[in-house]
Amino acid sequence: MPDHELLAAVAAGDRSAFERLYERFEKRAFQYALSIVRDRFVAEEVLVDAMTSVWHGAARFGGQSQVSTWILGIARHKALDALRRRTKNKQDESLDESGELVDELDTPAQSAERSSTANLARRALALLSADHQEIVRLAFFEELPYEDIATLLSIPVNTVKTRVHYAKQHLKRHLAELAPAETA
Amino acid sequence: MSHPVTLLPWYQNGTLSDAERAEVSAHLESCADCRAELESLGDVRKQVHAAFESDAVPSPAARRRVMENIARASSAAAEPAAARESASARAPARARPRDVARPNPFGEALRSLFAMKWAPAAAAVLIVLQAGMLTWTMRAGEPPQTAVTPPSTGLQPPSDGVASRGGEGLRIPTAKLRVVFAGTATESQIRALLAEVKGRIVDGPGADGAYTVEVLASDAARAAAKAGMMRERADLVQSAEPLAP
Repeated sequence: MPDHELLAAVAAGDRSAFERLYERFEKRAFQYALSIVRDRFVAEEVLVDAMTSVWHGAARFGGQSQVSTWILGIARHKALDALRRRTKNKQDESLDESGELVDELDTPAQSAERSSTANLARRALALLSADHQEIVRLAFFEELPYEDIATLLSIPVNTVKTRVHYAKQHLKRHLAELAPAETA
Repeated sequence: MSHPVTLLPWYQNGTLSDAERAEVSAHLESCADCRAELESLGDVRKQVHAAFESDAVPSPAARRRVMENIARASSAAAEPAAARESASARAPARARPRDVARPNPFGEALRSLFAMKWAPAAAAVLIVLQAGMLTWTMRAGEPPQTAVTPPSTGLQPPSDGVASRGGEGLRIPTAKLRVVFAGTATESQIRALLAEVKGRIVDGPGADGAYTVEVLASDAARAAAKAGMMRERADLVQSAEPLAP
């Protein structure tokens, strides 16, 4: 069943439809939230909050975007909200934390299990700015239309196109720089 | 058509409109550079998938909590109707002889306090007393006023230009705005902005990321002005519009 039909069933109160929708988006919404909040525990809270909102707000989905864009948008708003609360609680959080957070996402044990391609790509992605990481995820992994990305990020369509272009250039450069070290 | 490099990611993922797709296809036929770029995008895409697909996954506890949330919401919605339907059926059960046979005088006394049959009368007396005191206070201390502002309850902080005395208008004139804050706005910046417009968040974020902000505004024009004040802070606010009353 296509996403929009599943969501229509959810809007009518069909809990089994919701369970299927949850299965489809659980991992994607969680990973997107994790890429923003950089904390597994908080990302899981965001997932619970976002998917509960999907249940309550399904009837308000207007069909202007893909269902995936709508759900990821909810997850994004909840994640940014969680980030604001977290920032308030950690006023003295330094910018250096971003480096630590990458480590938190990628423990040595996990890295060892991954293929070298995945590992190389993760390291290259970690070198991108947060904005570039996010847009690379939305364009190349979620494969959303550029109009949907513009809506989701509240930026103009042309900004989406150029940001993806530059993000991809930076990523290619980082991949090329890391590749010799990886194979050495 | 100039080199459509910025459209290639969406040509590749198949989400371009038919017209754009046709244009890019036509260009690719005659441009080796763009064909090479498209091929390299394919490699980037594969690597991005490899990286993100190996990301962490949520624990089964998350699913359990979501399902519990919606089960609770569903049963809460169904409860009033079910309660109405079964009210008559339950009533006789409460009057079963074994309940009546074991009277508890202390419990009865407590229940009578919570039942508060006298509460409506007491509330009415209290309201009359408060109204009398307010009237007395106003007349004793000041000349008569026709435009008295409401008491300082409700909004935080309501103290600028809003009198704390009661009078004809005990209702606080407020309006609600639908506000979407910028993703980069911090909580302290939002708090400062809310203080500036004398508002507070009363709901949200909704599924669309919008909050409902209640502001002190006596009419639609002032509500629109407050929304305008918020929109002026484009660094913090993406949109702010008055909601229909």
